[in-house]
Amino acid sequence: MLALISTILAQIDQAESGLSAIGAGLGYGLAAIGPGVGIGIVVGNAITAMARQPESAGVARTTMFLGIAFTEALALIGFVVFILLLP
Amino acid sequence: MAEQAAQPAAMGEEAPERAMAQDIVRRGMIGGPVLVGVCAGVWGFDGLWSSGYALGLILINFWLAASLITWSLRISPTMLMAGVMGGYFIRLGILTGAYFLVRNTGWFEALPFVITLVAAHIVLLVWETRYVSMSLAYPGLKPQGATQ
Repeated sequence: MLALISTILAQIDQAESGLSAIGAGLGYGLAAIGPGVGIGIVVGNAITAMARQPESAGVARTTMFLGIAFTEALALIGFVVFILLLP
Repeated sequence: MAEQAAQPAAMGEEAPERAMAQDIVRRGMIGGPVLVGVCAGVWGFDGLWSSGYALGLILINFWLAASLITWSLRISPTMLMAGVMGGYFIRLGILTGAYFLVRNTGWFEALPFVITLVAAHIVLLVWETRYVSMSLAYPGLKPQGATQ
């Protein structure tokens, strides 16, 4: 009886770590979507700005770089959650 | 002719993002050791190595992002879009690979690693915004000796 209980507990333990891994992977993947969309919007608008007003392209590039980096912070937070959830 | 002279140095001759990334790396070298020192104080040598590793990854990440933008913008705006989006996934892949590379080593501590990763990224960016000019004359960093 004791052996059966310990086997069940071990299986529950394994299932928990498996579910954690699935959650970590899903979380990381989902967290990467938002920044991906955000970076696309930032770069798309920067290209539009450079095409419309080429003389201010330097400013657009600077703003774009900062925008990309700030947006990427969200992806990093998703990465952190992934690391902390991973068994 | 005048129009040609007014054409920007925007499509590749100038690289404000690279200048900014170099400045971020320089500031990371100055301010980063404080964060690494705090982690070393709390987690000991494991914290020191993990935090230093994360700081190095963040600085490489900034430098790589700027280099990819500069390189792709020299080719075309379309390549810029591809370079930035591809670069985003490549850099995330590098971060993930770098984590899995050291994950099971004896010196690796997850908490100082993730704290440094996020804190260094955000603090360095916010710090850098104080030194960005964004004027037509100086599209990137403020000129040396400029007042606020």
